[in-house]
Amino acid sequence: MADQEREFKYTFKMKSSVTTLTVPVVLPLTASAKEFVGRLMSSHDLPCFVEDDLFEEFQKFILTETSKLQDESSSGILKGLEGAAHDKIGKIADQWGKAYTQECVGYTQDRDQKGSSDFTDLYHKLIHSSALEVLFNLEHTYSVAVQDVVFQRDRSIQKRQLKQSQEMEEAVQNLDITHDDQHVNMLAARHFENMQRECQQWDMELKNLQQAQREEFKTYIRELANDTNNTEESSIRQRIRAMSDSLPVEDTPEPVEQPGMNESFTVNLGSQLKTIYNLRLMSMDVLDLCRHRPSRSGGRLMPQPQRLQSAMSLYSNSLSALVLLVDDRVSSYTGIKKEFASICQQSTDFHFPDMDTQLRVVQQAVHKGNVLRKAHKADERDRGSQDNSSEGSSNSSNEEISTNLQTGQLYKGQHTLRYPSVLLALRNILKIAVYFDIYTITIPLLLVYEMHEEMTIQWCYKRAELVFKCVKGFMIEMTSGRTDGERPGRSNLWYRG
Amino acid sequence: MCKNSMQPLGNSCLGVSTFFASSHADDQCGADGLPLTPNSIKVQGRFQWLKVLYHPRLCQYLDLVRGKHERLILVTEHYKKCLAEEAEDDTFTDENNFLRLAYETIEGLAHIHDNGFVHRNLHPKNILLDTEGRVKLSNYAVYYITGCGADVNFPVGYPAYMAPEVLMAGPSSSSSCPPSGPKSDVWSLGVILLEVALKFKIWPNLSLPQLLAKILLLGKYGTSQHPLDSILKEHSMAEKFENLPLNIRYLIRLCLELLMSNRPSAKDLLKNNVFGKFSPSKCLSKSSSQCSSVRAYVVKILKYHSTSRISNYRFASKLDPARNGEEDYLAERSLKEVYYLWGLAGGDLENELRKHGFLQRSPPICSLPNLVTEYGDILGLERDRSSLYDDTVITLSLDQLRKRLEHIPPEDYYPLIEGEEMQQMSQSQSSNDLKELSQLPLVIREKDIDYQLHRIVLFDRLLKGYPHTIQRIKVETRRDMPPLYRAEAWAAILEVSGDFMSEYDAIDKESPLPIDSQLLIDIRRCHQYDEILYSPKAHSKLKRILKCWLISNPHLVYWQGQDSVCAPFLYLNFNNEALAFACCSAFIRKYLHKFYASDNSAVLDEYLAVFSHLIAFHDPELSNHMRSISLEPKLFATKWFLTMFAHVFPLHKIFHLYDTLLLGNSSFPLCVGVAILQQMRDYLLMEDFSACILIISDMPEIDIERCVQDSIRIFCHTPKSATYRQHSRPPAKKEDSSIFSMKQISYYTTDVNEMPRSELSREPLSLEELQAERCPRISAEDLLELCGLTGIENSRSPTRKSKSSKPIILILDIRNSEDFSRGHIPSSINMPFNQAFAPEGDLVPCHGVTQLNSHKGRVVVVVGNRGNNAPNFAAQLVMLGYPKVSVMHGGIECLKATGILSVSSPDL
Repeated sequence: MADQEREFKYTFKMKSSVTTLTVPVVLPLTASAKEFVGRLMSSHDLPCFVEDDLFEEFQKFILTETSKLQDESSSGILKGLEGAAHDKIGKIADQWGKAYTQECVGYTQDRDQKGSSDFTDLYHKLIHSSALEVLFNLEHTYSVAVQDVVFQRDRSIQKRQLKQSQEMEEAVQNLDITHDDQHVNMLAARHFENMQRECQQWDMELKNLQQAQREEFKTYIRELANDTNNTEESSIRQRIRAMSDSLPVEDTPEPVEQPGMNESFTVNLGSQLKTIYNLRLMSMDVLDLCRHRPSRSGGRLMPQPQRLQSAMSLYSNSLSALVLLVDDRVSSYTGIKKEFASICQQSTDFHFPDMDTQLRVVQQAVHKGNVLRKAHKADERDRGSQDNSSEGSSNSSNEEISTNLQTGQLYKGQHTLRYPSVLLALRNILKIAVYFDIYTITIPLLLVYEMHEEMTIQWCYKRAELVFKCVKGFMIEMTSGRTDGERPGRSNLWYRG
Repeated sequence: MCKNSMQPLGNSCLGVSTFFASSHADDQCGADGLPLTPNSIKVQGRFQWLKVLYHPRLCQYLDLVRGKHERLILVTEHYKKCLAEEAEDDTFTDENNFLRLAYETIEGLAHIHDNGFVHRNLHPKNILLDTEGRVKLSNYAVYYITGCGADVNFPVGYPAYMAPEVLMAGPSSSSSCPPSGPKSDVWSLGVILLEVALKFKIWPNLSLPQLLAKILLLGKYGTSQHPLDSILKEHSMAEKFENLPLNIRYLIRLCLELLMSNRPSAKDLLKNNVFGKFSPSKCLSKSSSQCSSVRAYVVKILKYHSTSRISNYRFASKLDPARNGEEDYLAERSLKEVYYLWGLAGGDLENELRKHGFLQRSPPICSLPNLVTEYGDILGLERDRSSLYDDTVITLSLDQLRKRLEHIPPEDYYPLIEGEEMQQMSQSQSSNDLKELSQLPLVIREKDIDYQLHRIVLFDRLLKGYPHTIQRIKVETRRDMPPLYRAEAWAAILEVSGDFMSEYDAIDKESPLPIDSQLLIDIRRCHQYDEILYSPKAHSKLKRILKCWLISNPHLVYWQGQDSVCAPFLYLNFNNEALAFACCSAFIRKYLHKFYASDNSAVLDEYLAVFSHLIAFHDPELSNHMRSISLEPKLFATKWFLTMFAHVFPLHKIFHLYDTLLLGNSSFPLCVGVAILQQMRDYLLMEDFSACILIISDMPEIDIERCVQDSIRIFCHTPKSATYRQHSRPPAKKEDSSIFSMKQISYYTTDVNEMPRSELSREPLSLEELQAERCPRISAEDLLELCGLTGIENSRSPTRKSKSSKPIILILDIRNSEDFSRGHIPSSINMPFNQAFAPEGDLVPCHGVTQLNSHKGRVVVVVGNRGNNAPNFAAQLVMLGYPKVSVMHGGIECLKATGILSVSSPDL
């Protein structure tokens, strides 16, 4: 409401003189009437005997004037209504209608519930029940099958590659004797075509297998959920167990867990109210966090604790995330993206679309993002110049969040950023993390994957300090004003080299 | 009286509803460059005041809880019956019933409007009926707390009942459209009354936009045809309407007047002749009025304590035996208490909501966004259905709470607090359990429902008896403080009295002062982790209190950190600025005397010098270490004492600390300082200067309960004159504190700084002297009192003095043996200074040294002649790590006059 000033007049008699007090009052009054009168009394040096009377008068004044003001503004609106055309009335009605249908449950048409939420609930319940072991067996069985196909694919592709390179070598050696340029070109083209066809075939096969597995898995989950009430070993459980037991028991040598360099700290952040965080410094290959190495002991499948944890917390409110540094293309052909993609392919993702699909979705979002970014153009220009100048040796300029699940299920969130803005991206990532209940996040400490010559110990110290300080600042920022059930977070920082 | 008394539970239930505040777009900043305050915080700030808005026709608001992602959960008084259901029956066909319904609703509305806000959410669902069928308006503050709908995405109100002028203003509240006025509620009421009277629903078959357009059209043509007539015509109800009693027709027509000048306000309506036979509602409903009178209360007390002794009273015979055993004791506790107990009994709002199908968010992993750009734009995010507004109110079951409290005997709800009965209480079974409970750690006690129930009942009674019960309040607070009554109890302990309300009102807190900008900066950093103090409402309140303090203390100035001192008091008395101000200024007067003078260096330096004496007294090892790395208390403790720890601890710790601190005298904070250092001792001893500074300024998690216990222990082991300060608060004049002047409970509650002076008391030392010395000085009278030689000076000795409550002391006389044999304090040991120390600084073995070593832990008092010998001797002892070394002030000379010096036997 626009603040309105009204004149308040008060007249009182003292001996023979009549004094009139006139003050402008801004309505609606912010402080209490009593306080206002107190101010009047002191600033105008009024005699104390008028105080009660003044207060009464003033209160009456405020009451009438405020209600007059309210009436005026309402009348103004009504006048507008009287003069309004019918289509304008219709427009306003539509606005209200929209506000109600979009925001209030009572007025929205019931949208059908997504079927997937069913599945997530079931899975979450099962994984926290005795069916846990059965589920693991099932997943393991599936992943063995997928790995088998992947292995065959890799071998056959390798074979073909070998054969092709031999042929090519032969052809090149006999160039101008039995073959001419054109022949070689044709051969190369044929090789390429064959290779592509083979790859496609394998991909197809893999996809079909995964699709089949995915559907089977969902059915199993449903059936399992149906007889959770049965305490006895149900037929489904037995069937699944039989499936996994029938697997050939490979005597894979237990991969020796290298202890790696690993140190943990607990920090308190905040000046008065402290928030506790656990930090872990690890020196390791980051993708080890994503690899699944099933181990068997005494014929029984022993899930890795890490995998167990990610399965149990998958649909919970305590997630883990891993930050990978990638280049600015949304693909999975090079560098760590390729490694990550190959890990993802090793087993079927039963919970999310496969990686290619997710990438496609991200790609679409990137387009939208570019449009948005244009809106910020003016802002971007003066920042862009700084970005380039300090790029230096850093070849990493792009980030992705992937939730740290063993099968690497999720591949979301991407930033097209140059080096100093990596920190900005980190901030955004942490913000998203807080918002979406991600309480464990793994960050590359030095923000690079490969060591170069110029990266001296000194450089590492400086870089690590920078990252630590920024992350600390971001964490403090994110938790401020969020006392809502914030749990102590845990950050893993890892570095290489 | 009616305005401020909390309604008892009676037959009401607790209701819970939830909604989302709208969230800001990413990384938006306000005009001051700081991030925008989340809307839920703003709502939280506005809400606080509603907790004390009581009216018999309104459902009381109890709590607002912030959940994740701007979710807000409202807890209110609630009734299961509402008008929406009752209107179907024939209750309101009776003219009288109908008019009473209207009258009571209008009463509620008038109270809302008197308090300067608008309901706008009127709906038959929100007009509840209590067990006696009387109106209780609910959900009336949503429009107000959301800043007239600005802080939420959903529109506040129900389309069918909105006035044309409300609809015309549009759903989005922007600056161009003024918020709805109070008379729009009268329109809503008119529509509701019409529906009830004619038993129909207004345009039930129209789509939402059609319905809205209809109402708008009522407004458009309202001047030519009365809206009521239009409605009746459209529903062809005109005939039915004509059959209604005249009063009802008149009332409805009045409410549905289009023009503001014709439509009456709620207050006008109350005065209307239609309601001639109704009188304003009384504060207490019938069911609880039985105990509203003092007499009834007394009867209850007597009934439940019908031991042989009191049953002799005549009252006892008047009891009605039939009503025994079926009474609901909980019903007479206030809603605030019941809700608090419900929480202690394991009540969890989010759980309750979840049980009823709310809060069902899809797992976060399924809703992760796809892309985040460097500007913080988030892409690929789906709107969660659970974030939509749902006006359902869930009833909280109190059965579990009632069951939980079943075993509490009725007399525990009506405790006897005076005289011997107090002690006799301890015989009952439940109070034995309580005794055991009171041994448990504070955190557990604060969460224990049985214990808290007893504490609440007790403190409620005690506070009602204030100031008569002040002594008992202090005694009980020593045990612990029930969090629910902390605000009131603190005010009582701080001896706030007089008409602080009008004092506060009379001070101009609005006119700008030069300090304003500084205040603004500091306030925006003051305990901002707390959601209430983070709200804009809190900022303005804090500013007003600080300004009020500055104006009422013209000789003092604002020091940074004072905002933190004020914060806990504001937090506790959020709805009573005047009381917060009164408590805060009483606190500053008592503990921070002269600290906020524009030149406070002398005061602070003296304070810190005494502080280092205390450290040396209690922990010579730490003191020596700090000296060796030249870590002076000035470097870290200034902040502690200048803000009385309010700047270094979070609020919940400040509360626990102050619960005890307020009971102590003005020297107690020094002991708290020592206790804090004690907790960090092990780290400090290992580290060098810079690390120590870091540790102290970081303040690792301090266990506050241990800290409090330690400081009490330290306080009790410190002779009271050791904390003598020249700049302390001068003794209060007797007539000032006439009601409060009571006998001191023990030796330690007397404040040395408030005692009358004598020749045996301490006298001020110059600051240089004070800083040069390592040990505290104690006065001669203290010494005498400590060794039980106070026969001559009995005037000031406490009445009930037990030997155990005093430190045992060891007096070292360091004069040469000739002087010693001429006259010394009985039982003192002679250790002449010039022979005591070897050249390396060690003690030369002698009788005194064996005594010293065998009685480590006793207070050692070094007595010498006037001069520097005694302090130097004491300093040497400290260097050697002897604890509790002190120096008698004034030397042996000042004792000569007392005649207690004895001449040693010649054989020594």
